[in-house]
Amino acid sequence: MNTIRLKSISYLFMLFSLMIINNLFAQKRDALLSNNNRISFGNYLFCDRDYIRAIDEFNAVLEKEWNDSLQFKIATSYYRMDMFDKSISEFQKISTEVNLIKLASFESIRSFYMIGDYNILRDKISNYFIVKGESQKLSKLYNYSLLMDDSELPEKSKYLIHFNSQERDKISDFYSWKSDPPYKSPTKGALMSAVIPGLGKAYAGEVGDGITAFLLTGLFTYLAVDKFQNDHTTSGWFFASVAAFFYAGNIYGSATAVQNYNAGIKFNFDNEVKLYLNEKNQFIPTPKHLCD
Amino acid sequence: MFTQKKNVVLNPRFQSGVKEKKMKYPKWTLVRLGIWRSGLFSITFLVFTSFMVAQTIDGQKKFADSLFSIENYFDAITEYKRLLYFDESNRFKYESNLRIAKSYKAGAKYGDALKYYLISRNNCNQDSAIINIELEIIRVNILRRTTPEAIESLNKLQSKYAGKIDSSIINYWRGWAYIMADDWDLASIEFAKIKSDHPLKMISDEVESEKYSVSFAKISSLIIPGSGQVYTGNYLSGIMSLGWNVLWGYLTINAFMTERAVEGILIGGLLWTRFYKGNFQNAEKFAIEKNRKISNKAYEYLAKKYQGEKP
Amino acid sequence: MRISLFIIFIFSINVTAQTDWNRWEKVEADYSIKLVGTDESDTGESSSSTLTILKDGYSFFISDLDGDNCPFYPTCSSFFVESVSETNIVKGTLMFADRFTRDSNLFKTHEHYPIHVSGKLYDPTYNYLLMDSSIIYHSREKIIN
Repeated sequence: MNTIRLKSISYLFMLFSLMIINNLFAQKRDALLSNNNRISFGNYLFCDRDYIRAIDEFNAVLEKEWNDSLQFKIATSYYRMDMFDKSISEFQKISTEVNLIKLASFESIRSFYMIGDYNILRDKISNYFIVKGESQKLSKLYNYSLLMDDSELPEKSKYLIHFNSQERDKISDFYSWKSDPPYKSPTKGALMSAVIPGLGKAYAGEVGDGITAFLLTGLFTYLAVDKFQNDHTTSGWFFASVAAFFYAGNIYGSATAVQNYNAGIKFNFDNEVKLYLNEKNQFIPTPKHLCD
Repeated sequence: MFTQKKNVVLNPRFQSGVKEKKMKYPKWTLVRLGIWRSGLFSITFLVFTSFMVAQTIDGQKKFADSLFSIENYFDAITEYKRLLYFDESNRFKYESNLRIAKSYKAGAKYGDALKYYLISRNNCNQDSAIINIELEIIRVNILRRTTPEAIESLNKLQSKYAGKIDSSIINYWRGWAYIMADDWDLASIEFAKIKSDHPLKMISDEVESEKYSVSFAKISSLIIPGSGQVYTGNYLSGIMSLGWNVLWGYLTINAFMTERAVEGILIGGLLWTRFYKGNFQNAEKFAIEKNRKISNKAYEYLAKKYQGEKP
Repeated sequence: MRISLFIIFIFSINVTAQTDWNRWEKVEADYSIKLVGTDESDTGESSSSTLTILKDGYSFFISDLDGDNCPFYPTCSSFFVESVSETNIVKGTLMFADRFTRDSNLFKTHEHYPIHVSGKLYDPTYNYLLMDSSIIYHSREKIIN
């Protein structure tokens, strides 16, 4: 028994001396920098929306061993910080896991959409069609994007067929608006103001401005007429030119007011179209909730 | 402990044909031995791992502290967050959150600083630590000029911890709150409560005396157009304002005197009122702008040269 | 008006500053009171020199002294100078006449103009050039700077 006790004690002593030696030479915080620990901490930062730091942690792991799901998180972080060019290049680095490659392509397309150049978006989708054959999911986005820039719209029935029955009503409305926007005519506004000063402005929706234009032109015309009638020709001409100044300005201003009105309704339409698309998540399946 | 019979087994080559059976220890002895050994081993292992973990966490703390001390605040926050995440025993929860808050404050990110100050406040129990953090929160509020919150917190602190906190500290920070709110008068009063010749009181008094009275500028311009502008040092603007007001005033009165009432109303209403209004608007504007410059000079001195404690 | 502007400013800072999405460094203490926005429009358009001289003279002798009357950001005089330098004297005068009318709007129906950082209503020349393509419609919720 004494030998056994001696053995145990010597064994313990070896263990303790190993600990001490290890302690003296090891970098004390290195354990926290192991890949698993970094991944765990990185996930925590990602879910805390601290994206720059999460990206740094994931990149540190990726330097040692490649991991597609971490790369996916890095790319998603860039997307969430609205850095879409970066997110596209990061999504393209995913190349091993089949599922993630598909999701990454979808997210790249989504990033292209967010950048806002819809020609490029459609170009990328076409390439994806041809190469991967995932036509169904992206045809909706492809066709919907035609509403968002100056592209020509195909014939209505051929267009709406891409969408399902719940979506068709709303998109049909958008289609009708886009193919025949309810713009007002600037020429008509100018003519109206030539006949009655300020009427064109009211036509463009600026009633207050219209009344002011009417009053100003009217006031100075009255003053001019009054001065002429009293043979004060110089002041008569002065007031007449002021009246002409306001009259011409009113015609010009009515035309520009109608143009601004048109810009306004187009802006509202574009916003509505974007909002609907965001509600539908760009008709692309969203990745599984990354933080749970 | 044990009594055993042990047969001394010598070199078997010298044995006769009879092989001595090696004495086997009774089972219960072996079991107890096994338990003792594994127990010892597990205790050693636990001690070892917790020792190592503690060393690791301590190492992480040291690293984070080193980044903080060289003012690399962004990376310090990363390392303190790492420390918080891995420190399961929560030894450093209070300190880490405090340091994160201080780092954010150094980067002028006051919203984030407040968030972490509040977290660290929820993790401390001692009154002295709580008072410390409350003062830090007050200082951040002073810096981002949310003065009502700062003053209210100071008053609360004073009443709640009356015995434990020196009233001069409260007065000092209240004074700073007023300074940052551009209210040098009230600031002077607060500093006077600490010491009648407190350096910050002297500065506040100086600023207050240098400043122009906005209401005086405005009222004098109402009475004599241009005088407010002259008072604030904008002589040219004052003279021109006076000139215009005299001109239109004369023309208006002249028009009324010579029975041209309509024109009088036009000139007086459109032109004289315009320049009269512009006159006292300018007086007020110039006074406010000059006062702002005076304050900014004082602020620059306080930020760069003043040696005392700053928010 | 100024207070609401300031509150919007602070609120927008709080919303975006919740996370560190850009690396930042230590900031030196700076207690000074800053002015938000400027009073005078300050575009680079100064091609027509006689006009600018006239405008400067007008500013110095008259508009600096008659108070804050223009609710718009490029003030009417700067608007005039800009519009003439961007187009021609005829079109510029027409634009100015229209601007003057809108300025005199007795009903002050100004809700449809976006707000500039200086607190004034934003009314740039490029919306009045009679060219559809140059019009930029600014959302009323955005603050322009």
